[in-house]
Amino acid sequence: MLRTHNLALHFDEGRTKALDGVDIEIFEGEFVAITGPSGCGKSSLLNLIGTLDNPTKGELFFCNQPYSALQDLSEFRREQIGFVFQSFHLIPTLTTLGNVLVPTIGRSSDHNAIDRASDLLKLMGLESRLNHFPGQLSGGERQRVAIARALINDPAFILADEPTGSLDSTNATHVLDVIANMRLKKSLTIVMVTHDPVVAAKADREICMCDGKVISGSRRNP
Amino acid sequence: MHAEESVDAVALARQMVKLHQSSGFEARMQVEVNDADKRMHLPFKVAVIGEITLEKQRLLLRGISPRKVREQTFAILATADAPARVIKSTQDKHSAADPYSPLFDSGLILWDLLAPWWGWAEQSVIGSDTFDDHPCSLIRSRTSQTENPISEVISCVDTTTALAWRTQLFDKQHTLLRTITVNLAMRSESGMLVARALTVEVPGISNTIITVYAGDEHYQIKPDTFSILESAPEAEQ
Amino acid sequence: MNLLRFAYDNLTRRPARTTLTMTAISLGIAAIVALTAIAWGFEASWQKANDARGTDLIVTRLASENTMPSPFIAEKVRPALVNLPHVRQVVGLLSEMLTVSYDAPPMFVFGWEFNSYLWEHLQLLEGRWPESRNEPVIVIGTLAAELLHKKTGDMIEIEGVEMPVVGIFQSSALVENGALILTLQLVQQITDKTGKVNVLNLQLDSSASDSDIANIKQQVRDTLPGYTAITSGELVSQNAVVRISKAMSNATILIASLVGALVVFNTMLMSISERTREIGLLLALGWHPRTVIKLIVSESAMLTFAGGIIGIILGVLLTRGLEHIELMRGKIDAVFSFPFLLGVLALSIVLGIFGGLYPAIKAARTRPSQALRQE
Repeated sequence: MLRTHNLALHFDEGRTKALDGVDIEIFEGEFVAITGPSGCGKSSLLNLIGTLDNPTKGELFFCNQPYSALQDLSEFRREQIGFVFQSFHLIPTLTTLGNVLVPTIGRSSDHNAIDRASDLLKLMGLESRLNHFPGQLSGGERQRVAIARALINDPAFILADEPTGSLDSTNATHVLDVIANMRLKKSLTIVMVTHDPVVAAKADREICMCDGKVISGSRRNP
Repeated sequence: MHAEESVDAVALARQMVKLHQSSGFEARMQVEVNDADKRMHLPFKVAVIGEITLEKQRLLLRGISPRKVREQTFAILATADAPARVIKSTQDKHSAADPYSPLFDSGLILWDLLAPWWGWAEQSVIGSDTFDDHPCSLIRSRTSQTENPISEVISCVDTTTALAWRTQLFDKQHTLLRTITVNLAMRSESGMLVARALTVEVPGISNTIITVYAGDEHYQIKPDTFSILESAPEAEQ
Repeated sequence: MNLLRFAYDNLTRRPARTTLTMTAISLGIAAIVALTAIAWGFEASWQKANDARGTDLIVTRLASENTMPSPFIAEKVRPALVNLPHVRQVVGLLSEMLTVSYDAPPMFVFGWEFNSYLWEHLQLLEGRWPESRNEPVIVIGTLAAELLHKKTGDMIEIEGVEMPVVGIFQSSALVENGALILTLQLVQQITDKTGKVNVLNLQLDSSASDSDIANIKQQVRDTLPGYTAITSGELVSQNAVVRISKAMSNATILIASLVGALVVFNTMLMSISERTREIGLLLALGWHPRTVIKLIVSESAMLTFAGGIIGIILGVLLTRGLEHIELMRGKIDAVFSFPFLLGVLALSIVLGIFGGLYPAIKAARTRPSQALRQE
């Protein structure tokens, strides 16, 4: 489903190589964890997959279509990708429901967005928190709101960058359970960046990175 | 390009004389006098009626208000071949008066109103200057007439509009007697730029602000308008 | 949840800044409203003076830069006018702006032909009208009476001639309320303009149509070189004072608009630089850059829309207040028209759109990966 070919991301006119010749493949419905020490290029890879950055070299493919052929990156992000960030990135002035609806703003013909958002929040166990503001929620609750937001447009895959990084172990487990649960319910592909081996162990496969290169797990074991 | 190189002083003087010609005009003005010590007097109003031709210049200055001013009328006649003559008329008598003396303790002087220096033979350009951002040529007019207390006038003339923005009047010893500056100009019906408000500064004595508040560029001179000039003065003033 | 609601929430989350920006905009709009209304009122008042008199056309010397058309001998022009079709009356008027008292501003002194239709629209409050064309008496408007502290029986000196006030009148036109009116012959005598007038007022019969008026204008042009026949509206719009006051209001509109746009520009620029991460997030969540532009421009347009409404209310109140303070009483007769206020509101929205456009484009160009990293 997702494939990269000789992917490179350089900064400072090539002096810093965040990614250097990365070739990976991720299959539909897979739960992949990208691990490695900090600064190894995990998040850079995730950003490239999420079209938040442009590669210096190489190409990415989605369902065998090169990213460079995509007409509208915004639409691609909106329709196919759901993002979950370590620091939640919720908008403090919007309620739980409002935050989940943010990706639908500006889309003219989306009439049942509120119903979908309410259902998702119910699935997250947040039905009693619809009108609360982020400041009134616990860390785990906030991340579950962020996950609901990532799912509002029924994406093909979820990109999660250290989703449990800011949570205590109880909440982290809860959030991971939610993600695993959603994956099954919605047959999602999940790519998660983490440095926590316990979290990584929950994934189907672990892609291990170091110094911008993939060390192991670039292909699924046959 | 320097103004003094391109301006012909004699031609300019001739133009000034020509521009001042009128078969009849009337201007009513308000005059405010400030002493050198900044003491302000109550303003007064006068009306000036004039007829200016090359051969003969006649002005009638009539007081309007207050009463003290209203009772006085002056007429001045200047011709090419005789010195200026002034008759002062009050309610009951006519008398000869000095054309060079100030009227109503102000800087208003009948002789100045005629600007006769533009008819003097000696005209020369002595430089260029600016006045309130208006570039002007400095024209020196001189006369050798001994009876005239003013023997030299330096005018700062905008040669494109023929308006003298500043006029300095000197005596034989080259002492500055007064400076007339234009504070406000307006276009007349004929399109000429004319002074609407003037300041006459007599160094160390007074500052007089003269503002024209009403006028008529086509005043009908009547046969008796200048009749007091024909009356025999009873006594020299 | 829609874009406008989101934009509104973004504004309310920073109440202090929103209030400050709105205050600045509303002050600018208030200045525009007040000055323009006063300028228009000034113009309308002049026109009202002519309209109230029942004057259909005014014959005057061709445009000069003076505030009043220059005087001419009435009898040179009148014979050509009285015989024109539809002309009922040709009435001379001579006016001057004169200092009557050193305690009061210069005032209009009007000379109106005795027994002409000009007098008919005035309402006599006290005293009587002049009884003959040469009777040396004055009638004064209510505002003139107030400014000069004069009542019937008091003496007024005009250009050295003392005359009694015999009547006080009221007119629907502010200009006339502040004026002193004498017979034409008297003003001609006092100002030494025997036989002269500034304008000749033409009253036409009721059957005169617009094309008849145009016809008369054409005939005056053809038969009286140097003269022009114009409607009161045209005369007023040529008046230097009216032109100056309009120029002033136009300058105010320009400056206030510029300042308004700059204030909005600055506010939105500050706002987006504080919200870089949030804008990055919106883009990451699949917002189209166009939607981000719409958001920021909506925010700035909302700011100026609200500022515009407050400014209009403020401007109207300010003008009404000015009309009532002692110093200004009777000098202001502001005119507020609904289309004008609507136009001001539209202007304020346009300001918001223009002021917010650059910040919006800048925001839309944010690179989401960098923005999300920003703390």
